[in-house]
Amino acid sequence: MNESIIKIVLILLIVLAAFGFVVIPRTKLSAKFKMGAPMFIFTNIIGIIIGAIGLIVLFLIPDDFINLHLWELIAMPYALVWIYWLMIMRIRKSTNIVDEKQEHNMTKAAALTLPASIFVFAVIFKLSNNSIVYLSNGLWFPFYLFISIVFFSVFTLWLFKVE
Amino acid sequence: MQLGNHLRRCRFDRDEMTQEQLANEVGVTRQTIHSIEKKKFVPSTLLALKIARIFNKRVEEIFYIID
Repeated sequence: MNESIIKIVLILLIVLAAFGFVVIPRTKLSAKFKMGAPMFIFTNIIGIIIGAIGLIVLFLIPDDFINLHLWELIAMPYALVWIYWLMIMRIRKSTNIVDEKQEHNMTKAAALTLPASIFVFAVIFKLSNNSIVYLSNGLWFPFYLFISIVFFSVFTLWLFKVE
Repeated sequence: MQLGNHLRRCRFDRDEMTQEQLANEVGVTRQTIHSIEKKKFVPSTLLALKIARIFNKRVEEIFYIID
């Protein structure tokens, strides 16, 4: 895929999302935008899928991943879902859009994501030092981003179902 | 120490009210009510009070401490 096309698609999506974020809460359409358990589950499933795709593509085609802005394109659906959350906050004029158990699950998931991502980073760092795995400088941030998204989404969904 | 509850009994005494119905009444998800009933999640004071109000009971009549 051409870099310019990806850039245009990204800019279009950002503009559309910003437009929706500003305009929709002022219209009658806002009544149709709801937040509940299905949306909470959907967000985390998208997080797992996006994170996994991001990590796979990162190791398969590392050069194109950065040069063609593929990582931004892959992360975009997850960003759009979070913009949806922000839009719901605007519509309700409140930041309390999840219930207390979901909030509790997300807090715990964040606490688990920190040690889990540090562990994976330590392993990759060791492998990278021994030249078994090579991550160029520009790839560390997307790697961090997708690892965090995967762990956070998996832990949140798991705690939501199990607890 | 755990927080026990008589939520299930209260629901059944209230015309077999479903978890979904109770959840909608107090503004949480069905999973939250399920987790409270299974003693996996401790509700906030506000939620406990809301639940008690639905059943016209005092909080201590629904929730209790298991030592």
